[in-house]
Amino acid sequence: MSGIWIYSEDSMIAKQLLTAGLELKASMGQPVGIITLDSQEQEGFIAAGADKVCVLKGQNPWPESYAGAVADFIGKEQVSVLLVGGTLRGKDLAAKAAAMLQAGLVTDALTVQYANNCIETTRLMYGGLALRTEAISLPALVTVPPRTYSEAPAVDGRQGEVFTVEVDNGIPGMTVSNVCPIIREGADISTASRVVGVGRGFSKKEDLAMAEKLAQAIGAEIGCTRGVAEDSHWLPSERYIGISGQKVKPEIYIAAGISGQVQHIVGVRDSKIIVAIDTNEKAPIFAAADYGIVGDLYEVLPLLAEAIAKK
Amino acid sequence: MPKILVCYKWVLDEQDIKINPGDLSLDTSRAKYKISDYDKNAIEAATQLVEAHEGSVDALTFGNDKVKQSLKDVLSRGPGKVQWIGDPAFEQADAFVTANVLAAAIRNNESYDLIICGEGSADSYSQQVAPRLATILGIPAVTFVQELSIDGSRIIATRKLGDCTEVVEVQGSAVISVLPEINKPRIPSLKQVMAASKKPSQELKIADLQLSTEDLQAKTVNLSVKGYVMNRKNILFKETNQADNVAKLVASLAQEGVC
Amino acid sequence: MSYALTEEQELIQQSAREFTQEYIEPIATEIDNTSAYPRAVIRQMAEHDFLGLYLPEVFGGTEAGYLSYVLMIEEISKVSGAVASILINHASLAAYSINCFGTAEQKQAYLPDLCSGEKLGAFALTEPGAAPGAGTHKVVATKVGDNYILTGHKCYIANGGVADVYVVFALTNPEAGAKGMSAFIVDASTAGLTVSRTIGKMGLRGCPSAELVFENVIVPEANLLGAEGAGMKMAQVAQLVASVAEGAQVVGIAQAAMDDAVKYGKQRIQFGRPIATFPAIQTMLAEMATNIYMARLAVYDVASLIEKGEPFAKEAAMVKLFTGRIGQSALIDVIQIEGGYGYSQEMVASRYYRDIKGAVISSSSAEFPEKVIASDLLA
Repeated sequence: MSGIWIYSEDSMIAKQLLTAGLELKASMGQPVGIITLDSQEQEGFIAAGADKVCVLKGQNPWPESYAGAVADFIGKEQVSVLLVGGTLRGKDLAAKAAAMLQAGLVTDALTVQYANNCIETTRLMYGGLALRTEAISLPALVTVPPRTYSEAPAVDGRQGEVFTVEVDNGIPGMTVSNVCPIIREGADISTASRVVGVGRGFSKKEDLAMAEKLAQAIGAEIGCTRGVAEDSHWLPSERYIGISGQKVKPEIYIAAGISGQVQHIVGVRDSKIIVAIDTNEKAPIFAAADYGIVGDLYEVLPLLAEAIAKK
Repeated sequence: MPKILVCYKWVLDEQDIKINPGDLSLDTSRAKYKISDYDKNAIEAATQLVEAHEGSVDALTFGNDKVKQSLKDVLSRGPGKVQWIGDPAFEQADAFVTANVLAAAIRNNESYDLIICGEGSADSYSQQVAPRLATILGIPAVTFVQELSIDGSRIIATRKLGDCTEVVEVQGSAVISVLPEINKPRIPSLKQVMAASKKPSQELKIADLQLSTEDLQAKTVNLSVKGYVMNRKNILFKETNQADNVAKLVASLAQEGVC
Repeated sequence: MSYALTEEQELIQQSAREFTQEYIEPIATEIDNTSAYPRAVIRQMAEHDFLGLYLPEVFGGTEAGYLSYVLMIEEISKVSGAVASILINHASLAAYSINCFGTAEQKQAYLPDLCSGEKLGAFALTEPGAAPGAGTHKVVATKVGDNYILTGHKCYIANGGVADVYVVFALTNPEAGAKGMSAFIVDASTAGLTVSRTIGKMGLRGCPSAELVFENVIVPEANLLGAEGAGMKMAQVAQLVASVAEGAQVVGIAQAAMDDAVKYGKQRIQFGRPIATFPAIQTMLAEMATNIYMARLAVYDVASLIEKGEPFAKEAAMVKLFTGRIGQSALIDVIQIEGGYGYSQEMVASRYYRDIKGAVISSSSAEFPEKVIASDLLA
């Protein structure tokens, strides 16, 4: 069995996974390749360090329809590891391919390593409460969340093998239509460098203006807990930060009126600095924060916005 | 008149799980079980379809020996009957095994028009069982669905995928996994709770399901589960005057270089 | 607790808890602030089968047993004592009386609507100046042909003014005192029956308390509930049954109050440590927790007796006696623990304090609980 392969319908993510792939190449002594649907990117992949690029070409443009083709390729090449970009499309495809190959699959791996002829991964469980380490026998499939790794840098003059495989990926009886981009009502908070999070500590929607003012003062985007988006509908769901929402990775995350349940903390754990403001000293948010003020956000937020604006 | 199956998982309520301070191991001794939250959305979706189109909803679950406690709970939420497999094999099972077991149980029944699952389970959230199940059964999977309807033998699903939505139509049977935003699961009325006792439940034994040893052997092996604790500074400003607290905070942030 | 609830009872408790968290908790403070009858939430409760929970299926009830009903009352009381009172007066007093003492025709005529929540019930016993059981009531029911004519005043009638059906106690034989009291089922729309005023209360605000005026209200003899002269006895039984539900109400309020005090105790720092570490506070909390635990067991046990059709009068009186005592002392201690914070109107503890007093006072038996218990012991 040989070969470490990477698949994502998103080329940027594929390049991120290449970083992980190159680590595995070093520890497993096997070449690393990228399976792609995008023939334009093949040179870029080689430059970033891929030994091989396989371009899949089918008549059905729906990315998920390539599950069979990917599984076939993995099976024929006797691939050891397939890393899949953990977008929702990627997770869908990975699970289907794993089923076809009767192989193991770990979702949302935070780390991927080779040890004892297995792939060892770590991932979160119980809504972010626990970290599970597990071993997958080979062939192993792993989905990795976008931005877990940074893009492998391009180096001029690298050589590699590029080939195209024609596939029949029609799915009779199924049509995909009406593909509409989701219009964000603001910037993408998942890439924001500063974020202010709002929670149930706010009594009414109008009071969120205080958080907006603070956000403006520090140049931050606004995010929120699940309840604020899904239950109260004070903010659109793309602002919801948590296990089944956005993950943010800002320099600073200020949580205002948020109790700090695990499901929310999971979404902000990669923040460089976490600040919490809440009335309840025993709220779990303070255990998750670098700095905290125990107090009424109605009093503290305006003071904070003012103090920052003055600087 | 669609014949619908909902698969659900009986999981530990993560709110009851404690982390032992010394070795960060998990203390589940006080944890109660619940129907996995996203599966409630699946059950609700199925129930709503059947209210609109008539037909039936069956429930199916694979769990450990505690899974018997879930039966009346699930029956009070809409399904007309529940099949359950409670087996020690569950403790080591990964999505590969679970999908094999569910598929084997499903093959024992007449075919379903629609199989609905939650997008992932509340405990491990692997988001794999629905697409795996579909692949084993040889039918399409439509995942991450936020809107679902039926038109005769056509299934129409709107998927929500991070940066876009798309509409997928399938002619014939399919496995659907639903997002929590698809609906708000109803709170069972008290008559529904009482009526649950009168609905049938059927135990299935793994031995009767024609599964090979390989099918029941997990591909992923658990090495350890530890409480996930972040190491943060935990510096609290507790002066009586909030202006003082704010000043100290701003000074600290300036030192950190973030403000 | 190890008290063996059946699966159904546990699921009912779970559903009730989800419902109260979802629909009642968000508006509980508002109900208390405005004293407005929460019509919408009562409607939702009806849709969830809360109103006829223990009443016979044949009349549209859920026949889930009195213990299930009491579990539901306990859950509701944790978030709103007022809403629990509305339900207790409807189900344990009005509907219970009709179900227990009514003829087949009367049950058929009234229970389906009471079970579905289409109609709300109330229990009109209390009068200004009338001591319980002393036979000093004054509302009179005079037989004229095929009807009774009711005249007089009732006061502090819970659900008064919003109820559709009243179980009214009036003297058919004023000379005979207590033994001359009879019960009637009276539609709220009957001519001559008016609400002269609603009374603002210290607690349980949102459960209306009204004065009713009966001015030659014509009630057909088909609506005489039970036999002439049996009114006082029926009232006593209904009040004892209601006492068990009120016991659950006290337990629910006390539990919520205690949880609030515990949370507060862990948070509030004085002299460098949480006040929950001080022995004085711990004594109060330990005492309160023990009492609530014991009270709850008693409530469930007597509810089981009622459900099984076994004698329950003495035990129900004991529940009334005990919960009254421990409920009040628990709340005094909760306010003590929470100090100025608890005393402030904005905080939920002050509402629990006011509500529990109401829960304790309501349905003071036609005879005091001690008398009921002693009579049984000394018989």
